[in-house]
Amino acid sequence: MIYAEFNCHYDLFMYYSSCHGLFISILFFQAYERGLMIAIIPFTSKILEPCQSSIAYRPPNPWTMGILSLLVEIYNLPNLKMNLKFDIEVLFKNLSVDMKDVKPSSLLKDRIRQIEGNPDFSNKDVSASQAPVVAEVSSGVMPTINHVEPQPEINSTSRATSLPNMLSQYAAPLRLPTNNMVEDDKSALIMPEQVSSLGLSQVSPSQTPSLSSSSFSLSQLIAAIPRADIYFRINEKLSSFGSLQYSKIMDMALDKAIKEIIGPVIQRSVTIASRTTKELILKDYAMEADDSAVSRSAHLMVGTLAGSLAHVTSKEPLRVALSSHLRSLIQGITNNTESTEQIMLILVNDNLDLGCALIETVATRKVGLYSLPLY
Amino acid sequence: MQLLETIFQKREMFQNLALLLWNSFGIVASLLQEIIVVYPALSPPTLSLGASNRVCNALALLQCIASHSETRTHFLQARIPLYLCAFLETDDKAKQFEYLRLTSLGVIGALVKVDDPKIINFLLENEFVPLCLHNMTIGSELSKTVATFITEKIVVDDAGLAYVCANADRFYAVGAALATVVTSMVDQPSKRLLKHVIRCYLRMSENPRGFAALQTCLPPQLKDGTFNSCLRDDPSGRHLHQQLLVKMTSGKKGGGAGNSAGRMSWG
Repeated sequence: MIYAEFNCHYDLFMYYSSCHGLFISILFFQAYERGLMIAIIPFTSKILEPCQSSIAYRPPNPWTMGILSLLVEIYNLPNLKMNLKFDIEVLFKNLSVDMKDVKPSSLLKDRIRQIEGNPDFSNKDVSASQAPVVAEVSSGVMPTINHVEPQPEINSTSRATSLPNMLSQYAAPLRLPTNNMVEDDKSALIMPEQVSSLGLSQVSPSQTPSLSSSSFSLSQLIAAIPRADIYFRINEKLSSFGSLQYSKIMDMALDKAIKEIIGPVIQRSVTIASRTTKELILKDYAMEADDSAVSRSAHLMVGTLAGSLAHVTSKEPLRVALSSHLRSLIQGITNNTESTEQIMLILVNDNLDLGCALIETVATRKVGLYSLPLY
Repeated sequence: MQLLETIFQKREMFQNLALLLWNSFGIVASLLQEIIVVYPALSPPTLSLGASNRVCNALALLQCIASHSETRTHFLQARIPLYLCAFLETDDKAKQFEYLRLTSLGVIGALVKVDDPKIINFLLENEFVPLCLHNMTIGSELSKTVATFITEKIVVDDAGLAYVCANADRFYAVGAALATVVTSMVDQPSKRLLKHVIRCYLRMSENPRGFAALQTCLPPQLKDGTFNSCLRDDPSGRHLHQQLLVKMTSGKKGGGAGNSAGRMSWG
């Protein structure tokens, strides 16, 4: 009765396991790739050992034999740790199955396992152990290079984090929206010619054919400027100059200044970053078979480089343009020339970095819209 | 990056360090990242001496790549020198900024040593001349020397000479920078720097309009014997100086009489 009861429970356990989720094969694949077979093989041995006593699951049950077949394949892997080999040998002995009688599976051939620090394999002859794996790869498939993502990813993350912080630290009254269509139209009419002429002098068409002048539409650049949640820093010192609407003045001046300089800055930054990224990505990923990995790395790099270049390049031109617009706007409100200069200087020094951050954001986003001429 | 400093210190030990750097995965991208992470510290100037040393180590490795015959072309095609413009534009006199500008100039200097017209054209197209003039004006003696050396290499090139003498604004900008260098040497002359300056003037005088303009804007210190004692022990320097004086006083280049010179002069 005890024996019969044990058998009944074990069979139910195995039945539920095989039908409801204990997919041992999948566990093996993941364990093989991540260096976890040191756990999964003893686990499997313990589960399969009682099969000998089971009417339904004893060999040659197909489910059981499938697992044994996979274990034979693993057993034959070069440089497999002795303790793992031993576990497999003991299991076969307990099941009274001769390993020679079991045809090994071929489920692990196309899977790349983690090499460094892998506890499943001994470290000696690592290069020799790699060769059989490579030899097993079918000739039509090139193995994926195990590369480390370029560091610009880290920098991109940290910079993306810093931008919201930079924006949020400019606590101020709510931004009053400016909707000056006449000014927009005027800027649009003036700027494209400047952008085009700069493009011609900076880059010859043969160098970057896909980055034609039409790609640098000024209206697209202006549309890409972030407009929500912008708060200007209004210095307390300004209250001594009277209760002017400093946020509104700052918003109008910054809007005009950015439109004035953003075209040439973005074009130069994107052009240089694209060329650099093309040369370096083609060199570093020459052996990479996965196009999406190449594309992802390229976009990450070009965005980071373009953003940084745009930020550092725009600072002085933006300072000049912003100072000019602020001066003219403030003079329209107050007659005191000396206080105009002081107000202008305070507003510029406190908000220049915000303007540069906006331009950097445009450069980083804008570059993603163009296809990189990698091939 | 401790490794960056180690490679920098041991760079002399490797014959082909440039090839190793360029062809290794991700090295140049990492060096670029070392450059762009210090951009925020340039303005307002908050660069620390430690951060300056670190990025200068990266620039020194880039200079290895710029110096090597097999990697120089790739270096230019990837537009790497353009990431140094932001450093060359700074004007803070602190030691860490001066070191940053000097090391950046060193990278450009390595490029121009080989007298390749394609490299000169690259520098002209990307407006490195104003950056050299800026550093001739505000730099330390060493920065002035490297910047003037680069300027000399540019004007020695035919395209460079044409560029500098293309219009009055450019010519007088170069002339003003050279004059600033000359003035800065009155109290403490530098033989090497003085010879670079003289070679620039000699080359500029080979252009007819340049020759005419130099009649009026050559610094008086070069004519009144201020630097005689400095060049006394240097035969080649003395020869260059005499060559310049003879050319300026004889009026040979530019086609003869004063009328011709006057006719070609700007303004």
